[in-house]
Amino acid sequence: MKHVVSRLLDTVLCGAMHVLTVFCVAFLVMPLFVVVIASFNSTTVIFPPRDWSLASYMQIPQVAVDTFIRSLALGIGSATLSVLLCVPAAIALVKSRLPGKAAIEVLLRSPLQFPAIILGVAILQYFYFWQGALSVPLVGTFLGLLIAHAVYTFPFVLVPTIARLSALSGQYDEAASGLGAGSLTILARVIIPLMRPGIIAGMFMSFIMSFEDVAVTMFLAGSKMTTFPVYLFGSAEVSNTPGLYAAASLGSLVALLLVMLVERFVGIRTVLSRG
Amino acid sequence: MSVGTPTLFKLGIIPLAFFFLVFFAYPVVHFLWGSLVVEAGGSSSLTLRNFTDALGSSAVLRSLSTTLLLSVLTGVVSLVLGYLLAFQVVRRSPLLGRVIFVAAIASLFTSTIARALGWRVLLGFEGPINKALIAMGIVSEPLHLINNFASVAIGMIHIQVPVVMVGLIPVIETLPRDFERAAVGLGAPRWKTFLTVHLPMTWMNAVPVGLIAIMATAAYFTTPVLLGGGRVDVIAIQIQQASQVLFDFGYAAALSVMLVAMISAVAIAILLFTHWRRNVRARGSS
Repeated sequence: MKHVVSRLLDTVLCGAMHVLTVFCVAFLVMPLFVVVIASFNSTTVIFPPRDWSLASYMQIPQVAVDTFIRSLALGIGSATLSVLLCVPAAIALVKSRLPGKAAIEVLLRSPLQFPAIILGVAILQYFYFWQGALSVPLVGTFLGLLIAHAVYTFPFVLVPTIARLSALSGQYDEAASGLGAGSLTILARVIIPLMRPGIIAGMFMSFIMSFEDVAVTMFLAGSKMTTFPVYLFGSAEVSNTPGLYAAASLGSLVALLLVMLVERFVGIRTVLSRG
Repeated sequence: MSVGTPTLFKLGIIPLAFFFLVFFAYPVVHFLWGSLVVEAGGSSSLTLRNFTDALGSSAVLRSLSTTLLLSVLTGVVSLVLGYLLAFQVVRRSPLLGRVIFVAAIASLFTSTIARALGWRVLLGFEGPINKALIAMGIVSEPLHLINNFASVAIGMIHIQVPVVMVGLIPVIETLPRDFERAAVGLGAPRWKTFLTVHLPMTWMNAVPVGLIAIMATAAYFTTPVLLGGGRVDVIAIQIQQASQVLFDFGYAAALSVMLVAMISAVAIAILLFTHWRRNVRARGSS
């Protein structure tokens, strides 16, 4: 009898767990489908749409397209800048006898856990100071946004490049040096090529963080340098049009296409496990 | 390796260190320090006025408690659901695991604005959830599901569940399968295996993942704005208002210090609690 009860309880609990799992998966994907479906409205957002049409995609305003292109450029720019800064730093932190390595690494990782909104305000205040004291305009300029995004996203490159280098055995560069290669040759032909998966993973995460950031950018964009997510956020605050849903769907599509590319070439799980 | 190589490599730290100090460390320290400085008549003096002002404001106190409740609730629920999903991804059939993983990744990388818009439709007055509730006869009139604390919590949990799941997959993967095989082989039911083998061996590493979700939620800005409809006033909204509407950086800095202090206090409390529990457990078993 006790055995039967125990078996029954086991079946019921496992069943409940599976039901909850199905519910969770539905919970995760429902809003994504709903956004796309809602974009097939033509005049007002009703669910399900009464008149299935692609009219809303024609209604996407020019400003959405402009900000979208700017966000792409900014994402690529900040990913590139992060790589230029972090690859030499990762090599220094792993391959050289730098004093206080561990402390430096902890410090350099710290932007990762730092609230984006505080970073945004702090950089805004700092950029005002630059504007006033040094008359270097950074608020509302592409350069200013690029710097801020690189501050926000560089740890996403630093962490996987350090992880990749630490996982590699030092025998590769010892062998290269034993065969007579100079430091620069070792860098260019051995170390940096071996770091490539870490660099790609980091660039991807860095691009995504930049491409989707609102909290840092909204302080620094001004009226002329609005980015795509800030534009979407601003419109979503005051309106609810099918065009908004169409723009949001297309924006998400770009991110998901990028995820599929990364999955194809590096594997998304390796990217995430290093971040 | 040639003699000059390590020295050359050492220099690689310089650009990032410079960038970090000039554009992160200095601005942040300067900004937060500004919470203690009040400029009056060309001279600046150290004062706690920004903090006393903030703590004297009932709106700030309310937003602090809202933020704390929202982030702890989000962290706990996301940890439970994220653990469940990660467990299924690692331990279940490859097909089911794959479906869950793809769903979570699609959600993770979709813009948070788009996801908030999705919830706005789902939870809307004439949205599918209200329609379903009416069709099932559970309610006779549509409910106000949006622009309240619950809708913000739903949106935040939706953001954090995939993050927690991704963080927990390696934690659960490191648990050797032999342990559960042994437990099941000795006749333990599956739920008992979960409670006595899985959970005790993974939760020490699972708690920090939940903690990251709490910390991220506490500073979140967009979702509380879009799903709270102005009624859910979190501390991030107060910081944004102080700097972009009042242009009072000192006050914004005081609010930021309070946010950071609150996040740190929660983190320390949770980590102390888990270590204390572990010590109790260790002593109990010896």
